[in-house]
Amino acid sequence: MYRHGIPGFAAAAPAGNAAVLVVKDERGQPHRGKVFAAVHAHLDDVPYYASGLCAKLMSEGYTGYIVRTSNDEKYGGRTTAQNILSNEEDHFRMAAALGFKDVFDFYYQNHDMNGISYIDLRGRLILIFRMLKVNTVLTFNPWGPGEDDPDHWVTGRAVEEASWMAGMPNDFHEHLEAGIQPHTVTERYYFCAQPGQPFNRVVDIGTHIEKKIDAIVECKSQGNGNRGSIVRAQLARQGKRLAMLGNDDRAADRAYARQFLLDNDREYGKQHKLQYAERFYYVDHRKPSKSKADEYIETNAVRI
Amino acid sequence: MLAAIQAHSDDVTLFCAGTVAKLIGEGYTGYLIRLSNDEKAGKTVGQGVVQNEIDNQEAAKALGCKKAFSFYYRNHRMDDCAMIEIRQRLIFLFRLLQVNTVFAMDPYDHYDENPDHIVAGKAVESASWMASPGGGHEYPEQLKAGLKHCQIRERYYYCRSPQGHNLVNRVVDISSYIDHKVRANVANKGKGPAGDNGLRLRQELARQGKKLPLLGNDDATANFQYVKHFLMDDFRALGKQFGLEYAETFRYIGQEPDLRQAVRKYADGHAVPL
Repeated sequence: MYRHGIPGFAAAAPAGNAAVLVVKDERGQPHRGKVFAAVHAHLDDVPYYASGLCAKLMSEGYTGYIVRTSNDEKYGGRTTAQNILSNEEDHFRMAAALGFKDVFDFYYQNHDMNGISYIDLRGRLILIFRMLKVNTVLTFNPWGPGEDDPDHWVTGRAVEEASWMAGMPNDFHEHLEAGIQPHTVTERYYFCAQPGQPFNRVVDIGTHIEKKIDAIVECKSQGNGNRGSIVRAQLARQGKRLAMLGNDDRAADRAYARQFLLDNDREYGKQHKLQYAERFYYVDHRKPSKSKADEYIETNAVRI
Repeated sequence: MLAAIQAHSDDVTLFCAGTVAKLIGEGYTGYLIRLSNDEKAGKTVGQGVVQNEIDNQEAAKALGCKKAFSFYYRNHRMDDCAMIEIRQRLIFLFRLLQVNTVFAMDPYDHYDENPDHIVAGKAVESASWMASPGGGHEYPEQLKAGLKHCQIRERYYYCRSPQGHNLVNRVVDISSYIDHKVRANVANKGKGPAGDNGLRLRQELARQGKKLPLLGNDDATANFQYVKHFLMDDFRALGKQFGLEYAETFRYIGQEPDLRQAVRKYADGHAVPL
């Protein structure tokens, strides 16, 4: 669940002494053949925290998959059952808008994920990371302060652990019997989701902002994606209109999102002379092509 | 396809190996799945784990199973494991192997003091139907990985006290497969009452200048004869009650009647012209 209007949100600090790297679009498709999985707890998490980066990575050649861990039953304004359905439908539409290749929904009980079997969640993620050969994950920072939604940190921690365990052949060795090989996830982008959470990458999403808006406006059950059309209808009932909301619901939702729901992205960008940006804590576990030992042996080995 | 699931390396061999061997002999492909790491049986934890791992493999061979799996949950502590994760892994294997029939410790075996048995039985019971289409949309990512739903139509629940406290509704004649059962038990060297106890007795008697003709002239014969003569008493006694040489007993749960077929049959038999 996206937290709107948190005072001081834009003042989140860079991580420790780490330098902040501003990441801009790359030419061509340098990531062709690579796979990323965006793992979030709720319908509107990825759209707000990382949809710009998702769109950027896919435009640069990545294939993207999205995993939602909760059932979102607490949001939607209807019965619990109807909320589950409407969030499910929104999630599919949001994923299609961003261009994800496939959608996984785990449906753990919303807000109660600190009470689930955490190891069950991890096992499911390991299977997905292996079968899709995921190189890169985007998720919540399990170590980020101020995270009061348990679904967020449970999801982040499970992703963190599954990322390396997916490479260990003795974890869930039965997967190998099915021809699904161990596969380590080597790059992680952690969302900067709450004030004070660390970041070491600022990603320029200026050329992907329309995709981000596409994703946000599909978040109707939660995330204010249909707020523009609601305001437009309310004004119409009072015999009024707002010119910025245009002449139809779709235009109203997009205009509202652009005007009112992207303040954080604008603020993050402004600090680096960018129009819009997203922040992440990036962790790189890619191995160098040659280890120090390899280099030493290559240089120093002599004939017997 | 059958899957014989056990918490420990000697559960299946002691309580249902004859029936497992019989079904394999009659055409089933068999798999042996052990859930614990059996760490409590051995000189050291490490030695016990390794020996029992070997035993599980050897028992599977003796029974004619195609493959043996081990999940290695900590022995005697399985009530501390997340049962839902065990179930997830069993559903994966049942779907992968397309299992039709399972053997598991009876989850309703009263007065069984070993928590591993109860956890194993409950996990198998729930996984058996959840792995099928009737179990709902469980773990759809497994299906996306290429696995298919399976139909587990038969469950054989075995128990630790075959003449004891649990409900029995099936007696299986294992007389033709008693030697398979014996050999599977001999394979269990890391724990249980079988293993190398025959050769140990033979060696002990030899040190005293004695021998038992029953134990033959070599270690393999001694182990086999020891198990068959001394450890199969329960199964001889069970068989005797039903005029059989050897028997195993189960609480058997077969395929549920197909309601749609029953309705169709009723409609066919009772429908009248409008």
